[in-house]
Amino acid sequence: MAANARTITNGATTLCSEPVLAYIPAMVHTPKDSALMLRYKDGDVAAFEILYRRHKDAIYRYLLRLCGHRDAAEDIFQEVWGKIVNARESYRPTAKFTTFLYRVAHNCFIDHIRRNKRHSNNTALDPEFHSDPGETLEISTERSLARERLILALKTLPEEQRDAFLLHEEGGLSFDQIAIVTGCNRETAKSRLRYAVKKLRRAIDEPAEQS
Amino acid sequence: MTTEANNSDPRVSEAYRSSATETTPPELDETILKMAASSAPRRYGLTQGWLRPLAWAATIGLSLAFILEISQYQNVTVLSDPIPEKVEQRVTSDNTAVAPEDADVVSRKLNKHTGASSAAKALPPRAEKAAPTAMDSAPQRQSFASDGASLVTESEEQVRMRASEARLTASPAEKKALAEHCDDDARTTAESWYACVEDLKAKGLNDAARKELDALLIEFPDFREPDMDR
Repeated sequence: MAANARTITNGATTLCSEPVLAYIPAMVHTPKDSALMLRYKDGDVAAFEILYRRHKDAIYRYLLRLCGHRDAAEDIFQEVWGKIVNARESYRPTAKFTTFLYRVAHNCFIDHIRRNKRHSNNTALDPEFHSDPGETLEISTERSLARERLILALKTLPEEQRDAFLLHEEGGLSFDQIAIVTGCNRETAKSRLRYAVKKLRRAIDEPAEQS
Repeated sequence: MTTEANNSDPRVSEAYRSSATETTPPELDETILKMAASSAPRRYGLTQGWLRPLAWAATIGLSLAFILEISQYQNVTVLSDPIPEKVEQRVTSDNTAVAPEDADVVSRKLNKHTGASSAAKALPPRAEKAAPTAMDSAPQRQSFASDGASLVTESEEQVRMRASEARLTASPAEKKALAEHCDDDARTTAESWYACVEDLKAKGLNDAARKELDALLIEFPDFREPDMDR
């Protein structure tokens, strides 16, 4: 489901392992984010609801992984959408809406860190893992362990690298878009993402290498 | 050249996506959607969108209808009596021959019944002041015309209009009070009534002749005095 949403919201990306063409019919029939935002600007609340349901889970997970704390993530999440609602009058579809949305989310997170200087990252998150019905117990267990190691490794990543990875995975943002959101240049964004992926890959493969 | 694909790892992505199952709490969704709905600018619906233009159209339409009605009423009032071709100049002065008490009686009666008349209101203040003497007889009016005191111009049309209004609104008792010097036989036709008026003049009963003439003009608004045509 997350992959579907990611592919639809950013059809241009080639990073997904799933065939992108499978989602093209859905893209044709769904209005663009910027068009929905402009409709909401004109008072169409239903357009906002579509927009919100399209992005809410990805934004929520992005903030949840960044904060590591559910309550804080919910507060920031609410603040982000409040800013989007308030920004409807000044909204111009010059950039991609996803970039705009994640930039607001990133800035809200930075503000949250500044407000709460003791940024705690040690609250355990317990994502619900669902195993595929056809998997054997060994494979299921191995996947489950890999996910657990990934989440732990994600927590240990430097904040900038984690941010870049989450923007890439949850928002489907490109290097340029990550650079815009985080306020760095393209090469820095690329470097952060590369290091993040490398570390996460190492964390997933670690037990196998040990064995 | 480094592409974005080179910086991604399918296995890492897959592991992350399978772990990313968290969704927003429903109460949070509800809060945000309520906030968005309350912040959205109010849109006019299909029916509401027509309300404002409809209100304007109704206002303009009613105004036009009212103006047309007023103008038609004025036209009917003026055209109900024949418009005289001659406009006379009347003179009112302190030594006017009109008996003050008679003028007051006519004035009170006219004001009583035509107070709300738009035609009377349309008259200038000086003409309104002269209104009580509007029922004066033609010879008297002509006799005053040569006086060089304060001049008030009043058209025959206005005199007849007031007479017509008085005729429409006067009760039978009032009409009888206005004319009591000529008998009923004399009042059957305008000519016989005017002959009676002439007799009264010849006898020197000018006040009585004037009253009878006023009553005659009220009863027969189309009657034209022979002197007036001269």
